[in-house]
Amino acid sequence: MAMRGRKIHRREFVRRAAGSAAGVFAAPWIAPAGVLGRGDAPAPSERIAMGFIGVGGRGQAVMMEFLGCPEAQGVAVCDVKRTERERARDLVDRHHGGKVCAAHADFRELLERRDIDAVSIASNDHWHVLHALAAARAGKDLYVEKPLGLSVEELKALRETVNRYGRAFQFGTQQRSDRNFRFACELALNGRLGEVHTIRVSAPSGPGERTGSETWDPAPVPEGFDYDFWLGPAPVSPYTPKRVINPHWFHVSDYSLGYVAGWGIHHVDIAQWGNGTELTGPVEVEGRAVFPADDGLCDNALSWDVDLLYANGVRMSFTSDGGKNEHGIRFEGPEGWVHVKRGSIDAQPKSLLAGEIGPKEIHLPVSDHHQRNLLESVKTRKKTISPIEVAVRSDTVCHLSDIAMRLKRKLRWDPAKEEFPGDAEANRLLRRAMREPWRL
Amino acid sequence: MSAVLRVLVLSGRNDHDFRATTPVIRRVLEESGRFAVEAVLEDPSRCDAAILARCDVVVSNWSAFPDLTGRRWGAAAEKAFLEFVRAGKGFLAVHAASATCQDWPEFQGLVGLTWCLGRTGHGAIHAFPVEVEDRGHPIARGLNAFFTVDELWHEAACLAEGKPEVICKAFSSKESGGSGRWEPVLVATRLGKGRGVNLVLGHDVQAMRNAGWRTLLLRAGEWAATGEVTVSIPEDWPATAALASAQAVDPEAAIAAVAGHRAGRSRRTLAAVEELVRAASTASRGGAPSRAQRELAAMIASALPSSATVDAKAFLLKQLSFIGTEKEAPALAPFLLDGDLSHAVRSALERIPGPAAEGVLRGILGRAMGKLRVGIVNSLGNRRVRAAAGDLKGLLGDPDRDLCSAAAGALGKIGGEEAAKALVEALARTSGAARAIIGDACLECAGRLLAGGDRAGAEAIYRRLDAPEESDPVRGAARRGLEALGREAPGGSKD
Repeated sequence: MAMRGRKIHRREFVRRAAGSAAGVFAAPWIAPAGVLGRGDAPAPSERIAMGFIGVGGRGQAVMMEFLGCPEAQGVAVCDVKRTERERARDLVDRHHGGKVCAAHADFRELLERRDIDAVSIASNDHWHVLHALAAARAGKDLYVEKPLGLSVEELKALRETVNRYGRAFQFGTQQRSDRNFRFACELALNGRLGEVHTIRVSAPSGPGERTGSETWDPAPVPEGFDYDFWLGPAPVSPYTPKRVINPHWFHVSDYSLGYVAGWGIHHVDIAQWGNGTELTGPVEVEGRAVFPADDGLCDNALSWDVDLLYANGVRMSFTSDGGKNEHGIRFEGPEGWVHVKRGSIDAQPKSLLAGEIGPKEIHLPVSDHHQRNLLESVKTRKKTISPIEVAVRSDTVCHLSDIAMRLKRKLRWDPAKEEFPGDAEANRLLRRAMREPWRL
Repeated sequence: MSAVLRVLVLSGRNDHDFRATTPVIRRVLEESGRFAVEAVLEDPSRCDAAILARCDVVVSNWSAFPDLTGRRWGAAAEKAFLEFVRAGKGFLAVHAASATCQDWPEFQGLVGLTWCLGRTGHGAIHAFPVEVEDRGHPIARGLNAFFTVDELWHEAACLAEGKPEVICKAFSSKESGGSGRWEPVLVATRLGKGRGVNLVLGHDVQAMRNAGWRTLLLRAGEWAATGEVTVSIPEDWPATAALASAQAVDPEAAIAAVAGHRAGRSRRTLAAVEELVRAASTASRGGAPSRAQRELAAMIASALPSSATVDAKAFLLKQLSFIGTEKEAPALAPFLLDGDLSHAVRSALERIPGPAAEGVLRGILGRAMGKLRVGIVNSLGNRRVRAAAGDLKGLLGDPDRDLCSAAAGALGKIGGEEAAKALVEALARTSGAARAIIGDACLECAGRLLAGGDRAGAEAIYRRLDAPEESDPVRGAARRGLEALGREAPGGSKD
């Protein structure tokens, strides 16, 4: 039913665009003839029209992945930085061979466009959920970069809204679309290691990415940059260039949890997958961290070391200490281990790697291209490889780790109720207030 | 709990800052509820039988150092004191209190260890772990190791016959300027039916902030007085060096250092307060904030008005979002009307558990204007303050679109029949983009009604929204809601 609705919009739009090029919906989607005949690619009017919100470095990379799929048609980009949105618009135009893409400064304008089917969101972390909520309420399908949100309450609100509007959702944990990660999880889930008892996870904390300066001077906001819009739900703070550039803002708590989520989410998500706990979570968490004392902007953890316990008895060690746990994810059982990271998989005994997963064993869903996997879901309405329910649970593990390392005491977690039972002092950290007028 | 133990405190004369440390000792004793201080004497010759008769234990922060001899108390006082102990009472020497009266054998017998010129020494003040040597001793029962930041004496001497019993020890590292050996830090002795304890730790006020040291002081005082120990292990046990370092900081001074902060200046002073806040949170277990948390929150709140800059105030308010309690909530109300601080205040009020914070938000709603009012409405919604539903209903028709949208969102989160009715009514008289916002709030309400078991209420809302005048997304969501109801209905269609 949803697809039927979409197609009606498309026809309406094409009619309107053909009749008049003026008005709010005047994004020039009148494709030059050359675009129509791209091999066996669908004609533009049958493609999935996409908008891209947040088109800095990562946003443009994801955008180009989408545009590499013949069924995607870029029609709009949005960024509060003029240079970024114009560069991205030009990339889309060049890709499709014509003036097909509009550049918006305000995401709400982009979302008002009824011709857009799906949006890809790669804004700063503190905007992810607000952008995604607005897109879901506008009936768009979504790709959302990781990490998901700045509080567990944000995650839950997004899950509720995505499901309310029945939107296809893909979370940017693209390791799920990689054979090695999937195979490592299948080995763990099918008992090839015996009963897994330990999962070791390590991800970098990015200590070299801090500003490194104790003081800074407020600077004038550059022309063409809507700084107040960039801050959005975050507290007002004077502008300084380092605040808003990648990677420093990852390490400022007003905009991000830091790499415990920014990098950690990738491997934590695989750990949840291979542990068979992707729709639930740990029952206990205890953490330690070192926080910076001498950086003028950055206040997220410099390093962390977190221990989690699952109801199935599995213990997970999640740390930024690459000496303690090797970078990546390692599942350990009495009969062996498998370690996986980007570009490599290793196991003991080695023979595990040559094994095949039998027909009666657990086979995880297969995706070989993370962005195309969303586009397939837009058409079929089937679940993506990283759907919202999974995204919320994986991201929650990062939040629990962050909260535990701040409280520095052992916390119990109830994954069914998604709260710390009987612990109001920990539960208060599951939410954070947004600057007015922004709200969930 | 046993009866309150009465304490005679000796203070003065020594080369340490007794004017600062004696009041801390007194406060720690009295705040435990186990002790009451009968008197503080700066002249031990006044320690007579009349005073001692009213006491259970003498706690000494007195020493005539550098005079290790020749400063006796006088025959009457010494006789009364020794009879008091022999009869079954106690004596507790704190840190330098043992470094005196080396020409008085019974006194040396009671302290067990003393500073020996040319032999005893100490390295730099640093963080080190204190270990339990005698787990069976009542003072140490159930005690785990802890870290402290203190001066650690090495090669203290026993001038009496027989060795004192070592209860706690610490390793004196060469790197810190120490002996490279384990050194006693808490020893116990006997005299007649009475008891002596020498708590070698506690050089200054900083060291006395340590919860491990405080526990040793209380337990040692209790054991000296009675031979038994009832004082329990506190929740803010400094199990790590980081926790001990945080406890060593003077919180009032650390908070005061933030007062003039401006964005762009060094965050060092802020980071010090953040460390205190994390340590205070650690102490809170479960539902209720610990005493350490309550004290720090009160200090932060009282520093708010005197903090000179907006940046300092916003920083302190952010710390209250982590550890603020109901007690601080009322004092935050005026800042809700300050455009520079309203968001920071809401950050605290949205997180402080209990109804007081909600009362503050409700109370100020009518006085706030413009964007600040929008923020307060959002906070009431985020906290799901049901009692605010009446006020919020009235804002649904407000010409300020942001306010109207905020009120709709808040009512959707609060849910319930009253909110649902108001939202559905508002839908009919709203057009344009605002209509979809109210529609979304209606959908949220329906979801909550359903979760609460009110299927009929939810179905009525979904049917109302499944109409051509609603936006496609809202209508589609309403149909999804109806389909889900159909699937779940007893005997309903399964596809």
